Amino acid sequence: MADLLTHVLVVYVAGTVLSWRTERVPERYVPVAMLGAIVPDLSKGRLLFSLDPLETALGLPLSWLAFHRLGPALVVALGLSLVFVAEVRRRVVVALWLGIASHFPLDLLVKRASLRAPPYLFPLSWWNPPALNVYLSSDRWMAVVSAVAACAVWLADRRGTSADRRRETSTSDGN
Amino acid sequence: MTNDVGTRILIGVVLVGVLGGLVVVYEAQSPEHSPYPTSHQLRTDWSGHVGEQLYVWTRVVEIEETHMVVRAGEYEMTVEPVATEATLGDVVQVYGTIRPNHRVTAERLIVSKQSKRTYMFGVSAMAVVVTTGLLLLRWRLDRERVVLTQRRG
Repeated sequence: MADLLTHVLVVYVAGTVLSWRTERVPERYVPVAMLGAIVPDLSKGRLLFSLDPLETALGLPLSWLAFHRLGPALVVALGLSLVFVAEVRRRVVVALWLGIASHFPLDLLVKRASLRAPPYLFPLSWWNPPALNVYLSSDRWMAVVSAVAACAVWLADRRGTSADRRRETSTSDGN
Repeated sequence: MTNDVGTRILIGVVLVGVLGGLVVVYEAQSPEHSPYPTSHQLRTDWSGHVGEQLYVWTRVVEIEETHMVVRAGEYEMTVEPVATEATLGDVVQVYGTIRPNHRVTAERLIVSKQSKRTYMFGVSAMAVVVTTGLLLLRWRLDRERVVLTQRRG
């Protein structure tokens, strides 16, 4: 995985810019997509809780790693959508799924000694895609680059929002 | 879709079942689809896999001039050659050939420095904070209906 901050900031930048260009992407769904980008890294739950006791109790093989695969991540997103009000739930699911979809291409860039990435497409396929070996998850430059881009987008977004408000005010004054 | 809490809990339980099923299937089938022996296979029958390729994430526990000892879960192995920038405690990805007596001839080694990994977990925690903050700026909890609903304005 790339570090999680890079994952969510990439979605923030892409989502916010898209929201400027089309009304079909309201800005309030950007943080929902960012939440989706976090979902595959629930696999890091293994650092906090061991599934061994549950595995022994149930007599079934369990692994946190499965959360970092397409199918389980999409199911988690469906569950998360239940937290949202019914009228927006379909759009929330789409936003969460787009966030999840953004996660895997970024992880393909991670350096792996085997030159192969894990089977991200499970349960659709067990194919190990080629690892593009661009960075290590612990490298700092991706977080720095994505943070700079996110700051620029945030500033541009604030300016745009202020300009819109001024325009609305002057229009209503004119009326 | 409904807003009814009971229905949502029921759907949630079904989804947990589906998720559990996927997790079990993944864990049960991944060894047969993996191009490399699993940790369990290596722990229980190292000699049965001599000559095969191995790919594993390990932690450095000892460094000598010609080799290093690394730990992967519950077993250790001796890796040659030594990763030049590795120090004790670093995470090393090992790709190589399995040799007798828990030895590995490495073809490729990738080192993640422990200090950088601490940073990685720090910024990852920040990601959760940033996302939660932005989410709460745009959405609010409707306590009556027990749902997140969009903020106005």
